[in-house]
Amino acid sequence: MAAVSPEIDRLLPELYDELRRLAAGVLRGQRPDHTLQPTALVHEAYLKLAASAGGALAGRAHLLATAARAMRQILVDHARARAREKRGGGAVQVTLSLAGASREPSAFDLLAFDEALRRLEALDAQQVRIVELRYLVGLSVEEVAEALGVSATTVKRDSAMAKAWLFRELRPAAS
Amino acid sequence: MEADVERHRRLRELFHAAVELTPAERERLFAASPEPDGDLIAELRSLLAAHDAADTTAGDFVADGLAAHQRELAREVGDSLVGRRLGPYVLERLLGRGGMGAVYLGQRADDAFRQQVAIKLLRPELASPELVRRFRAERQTLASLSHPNIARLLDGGTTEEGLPFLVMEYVAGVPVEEYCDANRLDLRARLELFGTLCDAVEHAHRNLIVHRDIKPGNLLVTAEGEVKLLDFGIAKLLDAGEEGADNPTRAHGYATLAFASPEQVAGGAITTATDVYALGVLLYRLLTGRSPYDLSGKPLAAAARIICEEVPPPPSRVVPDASAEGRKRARALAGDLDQIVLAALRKEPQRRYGSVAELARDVRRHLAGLPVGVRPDTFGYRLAKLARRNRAAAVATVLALLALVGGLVAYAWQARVARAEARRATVERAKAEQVNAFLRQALASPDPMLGGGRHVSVAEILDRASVRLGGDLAGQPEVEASLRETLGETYLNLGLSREAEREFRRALVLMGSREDLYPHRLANRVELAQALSDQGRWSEAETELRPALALCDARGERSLRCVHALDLQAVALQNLGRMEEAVAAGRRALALLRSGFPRERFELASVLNNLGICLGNQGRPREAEALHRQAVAAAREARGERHPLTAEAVANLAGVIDMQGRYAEAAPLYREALGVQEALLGERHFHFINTLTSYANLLWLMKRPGEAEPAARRAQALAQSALGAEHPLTAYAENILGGVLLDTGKPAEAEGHIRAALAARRRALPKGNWLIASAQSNLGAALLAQGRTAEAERELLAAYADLAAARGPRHEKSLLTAERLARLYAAAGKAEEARRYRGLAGGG
Repeated sequence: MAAVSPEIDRLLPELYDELRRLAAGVLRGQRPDHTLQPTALVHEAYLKLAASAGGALAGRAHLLATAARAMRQILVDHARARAREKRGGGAVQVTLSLAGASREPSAFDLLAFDEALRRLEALDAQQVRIVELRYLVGLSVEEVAEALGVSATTVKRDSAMAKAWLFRELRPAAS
Repeated sequence: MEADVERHRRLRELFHAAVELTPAERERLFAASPEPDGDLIAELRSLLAAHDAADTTAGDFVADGLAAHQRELAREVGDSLVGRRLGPYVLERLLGRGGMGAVYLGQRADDAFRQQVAIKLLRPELASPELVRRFRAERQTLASLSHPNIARLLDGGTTEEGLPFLVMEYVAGVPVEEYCDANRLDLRARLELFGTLCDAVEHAHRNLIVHRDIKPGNLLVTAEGEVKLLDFGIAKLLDAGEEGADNPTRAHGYATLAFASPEQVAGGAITTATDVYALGVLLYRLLTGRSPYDLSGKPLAAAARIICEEVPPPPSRVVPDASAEGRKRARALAGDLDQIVLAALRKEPQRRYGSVAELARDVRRHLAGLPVGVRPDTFGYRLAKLARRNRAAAVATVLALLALVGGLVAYAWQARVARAEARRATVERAKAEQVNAFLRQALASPDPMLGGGRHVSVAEILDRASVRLGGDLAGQPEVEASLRETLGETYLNLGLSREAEREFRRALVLMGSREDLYPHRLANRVELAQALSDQGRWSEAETELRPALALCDARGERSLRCVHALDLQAVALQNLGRMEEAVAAGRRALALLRSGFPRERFELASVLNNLGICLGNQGRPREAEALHRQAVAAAREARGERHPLTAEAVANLAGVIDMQGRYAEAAPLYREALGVQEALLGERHFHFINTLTSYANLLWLMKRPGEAEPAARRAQALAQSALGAEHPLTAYAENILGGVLLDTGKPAEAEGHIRAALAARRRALPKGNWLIASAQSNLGAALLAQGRTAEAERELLAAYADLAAARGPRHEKSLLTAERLARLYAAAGKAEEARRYRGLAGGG
């Protein structure tokens, strides 16, 4: 990841907590919709932060980028923790007749994906921004275009290329 | 680096130009490209190929991949409680997570030697009041288990949010199979270890706890070589909660299936024999290194069939005997050990070892070189095979039912099998609770009491299921009885009380008088009484309730089932005119409910409502109204505004207000109830017809015949077609329609309806009953209006005599009848009689 802005450093714990609180709210049934949309959670967290930060955070595009980075960082931290867990660090010996482990088998290697994004960042930072906004914040093509001040066609094509590039990068590792 | 960036930029230009073109157009573009770098074109091709692959085969691989991680993360942060303090324990680390909840490593904060514990927490969204209550009850049972080889339940409690948690002894160890292999234990050592395990399981069985999920993952051996059983009784505890689970896609691996017994797969009773079976599988694996059946990769239905039907090969046949070592092992297994293992693995629970102790004793006798007690399987086994075919048929039935409802096959198989009624006093008899749970789940949506609307086709599905059950489950009365109970409940909730009655009666016959089926007998009897009550067959309902209440009394049981029985009894008695007894039963129900189940708002609403009706009919409308108002509040609290129960409570509040003559206040309440009942229950439902009839009566009393007539006609037509001519409500509707038609000047038509009511009441009620007399009085009025004075006089005089005797001369119907007689005599010129009856009618 490129240089992390000081705001992100400051906001990350807050965003993380916000995300945790919101997710917990969903799971405790406090949220009527009962669906868990991570991007929606990020949106919500971000809006809260934006409101509380007031003038400290300038510009919608910047805010969105910050949220995307935060989400990416959270996911990477989580994947790292998972990887550590898998490598040992206290074998899990309490089996759960709690049954039916509901962990989602993630064929998608998030750490490899993050690495690939770093490599792409070095070649074309804009493509990485597009991927982050589309996939980590959940913006539409049009919203990304507006945030970055480019045409929707460009966003669509750059997004397609970035995805193809990442797909090719991750492919050998996956198969 | 600079060059790479530049290259990527050129690649991007080309990609942008090519990405939306067809393959042929792309080729033309590549051919025309002035790009001197052939490698770049090659890379472009590869990138475009990746683009096509990413879009077609992988879907949106980035979105899907990230979404999976995000969901996982959200779930994890959502209920991660690391660092939190529960009582004296601090949660240190998440050990694992399952469909039902999470397990944390905890530490006693106030402990000098920092004892580590495993803390199990239920997933918050599964914590229904019912499950929390079960958790507490089971905790007591589990806490009583004290054995060196069983991981102890140390403590338990409730979090701030009201979630129950269990604190277990933390065991650092490895699964038993892994331990045996890693330490290269020989046959003798393995058998000795197995014996120790058996002792621990036997100890639990003596405390009436069945493990039901014995598998290597639950059998750990510590570094000191000490074996520990985990999760005793937990499986059941959690299974009980699964009905509340809303995640039908919960993965359920084959790992557990490998240890599942035929009765677990086919939905039979879970008993200590189930644990014997799982220990048999374990012994098989410890001796041979493989499972008795090869279930890997098999569809669940096929695996289930294998478990239910295939006889596993004897252990001695499956060890590879190519080597000298193998041949030695095979020789050691042949004979006793083969027989011990196969006896534990028999399909029919009653044909296995009678207890884990017997299994352990045979293993130890073998070790000591003594003859074992197990008898080889010969003739009896073949006979029993027939019975097993039936089990496969049961599976087929389930599958057929599943197919009928469609799309839920996966769910039913994933639903955990063992769902026994927890009864400490008896070893459990589960009886296809799995199948029942499925049916409940599958049929829940059309069940109006569970919300949602009515689908007529469901009745057809139920009818077909009912027919099918008789054939497919012949010879398995317990399973059939249990399924019929479920069918009956569903019929009942659809308002199909005659069909419900049929199912409950059959279930009761199937169960006979078996003591161990006591909870189900009680349940079926109470439900049968409910079905009879819904048909207005009060006297039969009351008769069915007597043995049910005797069961409650004999056992001193304070269950909701007994509350329900008392509640129904109050209703039946009040409809039979036994008012004092009715009020007494209602008060008992209320007292039992308030003392034992203060949070059961739904039951409370019902009991208050029915007691209110009893008091209202006893001539205490003010007390009744207060109860009805509380009932409405409780119903709203329990189920919200748009629920059949709430609507019924509102309708009854309207009734008691109506009774006190506050018509204008009652009318909008009736309309409110009718709207909800029609939408949720449908117009053919008893409750809707009942409310509609009362509303028609109210409009009649309010002297609004124009509105009353269509309401009364509709009520009468619906009652006749949906409830039948013999139903008391039908007679009531006929009588009211007759009254309304009299007021709208159609006495001849009125006469027909009144006669219908009168005939039905004469058949159903004892001679002299005031309801007969009331209809008779109306008949007199109809005849009078048609100028048939002699007939009218006869009917009215008889009616008056009965009414005055039964309800007293001041009762509204007595007064009304006297008034009619006065008019009759006045018209006939009999002034003296006219004056006399005018006086009795209270008029001048």
